[in-house]
Amino acid sequence: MNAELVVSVIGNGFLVLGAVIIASAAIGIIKLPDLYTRTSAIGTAAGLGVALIIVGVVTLDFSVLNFIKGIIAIIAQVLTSAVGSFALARSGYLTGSRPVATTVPDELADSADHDAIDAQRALRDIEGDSPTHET
Amino acid sequence: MMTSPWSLPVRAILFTAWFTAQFVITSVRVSLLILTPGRQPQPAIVRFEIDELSDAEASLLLALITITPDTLVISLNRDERVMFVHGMFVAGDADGFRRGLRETHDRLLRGIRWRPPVTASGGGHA
Repeated sequence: MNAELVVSVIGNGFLVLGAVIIASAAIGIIKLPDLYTRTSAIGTAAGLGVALIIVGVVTLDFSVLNFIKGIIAIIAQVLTSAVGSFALARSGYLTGSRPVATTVPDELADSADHDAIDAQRALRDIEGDSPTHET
Repeated sequence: MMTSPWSLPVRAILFTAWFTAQFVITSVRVSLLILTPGRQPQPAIVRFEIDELSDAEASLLLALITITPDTLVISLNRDERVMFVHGMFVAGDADGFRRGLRETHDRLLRGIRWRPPVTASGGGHA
């Protein structure tokens, strides 16, 4: 067994592992119940899946320059995927995509309800036509 | 243990290593959850206070929480210094989930500040 074969097996192993994780994320999009858990599933593909594929490619074609490029690529990929996930989740919440009913506790919904009630009260106080606060 | 400003590179490297391990573990957990037939996540959204963080540190914490696939920041309120975090494996234990986030928060501060805060919860193990 020569060294080239070992490197080839390890490198391709990383590639297959990365592909399996990306495939599981794709299944997760179908299986999971709401936007937020699906975004989490995408996080595995965008983070570990792509990172493993980069590691596999660097192993197959190793040089110091490729190693540095690989590290930069993984860091950039992971950071941008985090910002993207946050933007996706936030815009999803703002446009009214509710979390699945098994999400307990949902402290954001509680807080949002309080804000809505406060806003209604403030509006009524400004209009001043209904002095009774029924809640 | 290490609270001198000179130990910052060591603390930063230790934090990076710990976080990379957490990242791989949670990624595998989420993948296993998806691949196990009939299993569904037990999510929750909790409120997390970030009083003492600067804006840059809050951004970094937000990115790190969102990078680990089982947790996801949905909303960040800079005026009230509060973020809302979605977790995949909470199973009703909101306080336990908050303790895990607090641990990431404490470890992050130990890894990036010149003079890390002395926390009461020091010595806890993941």
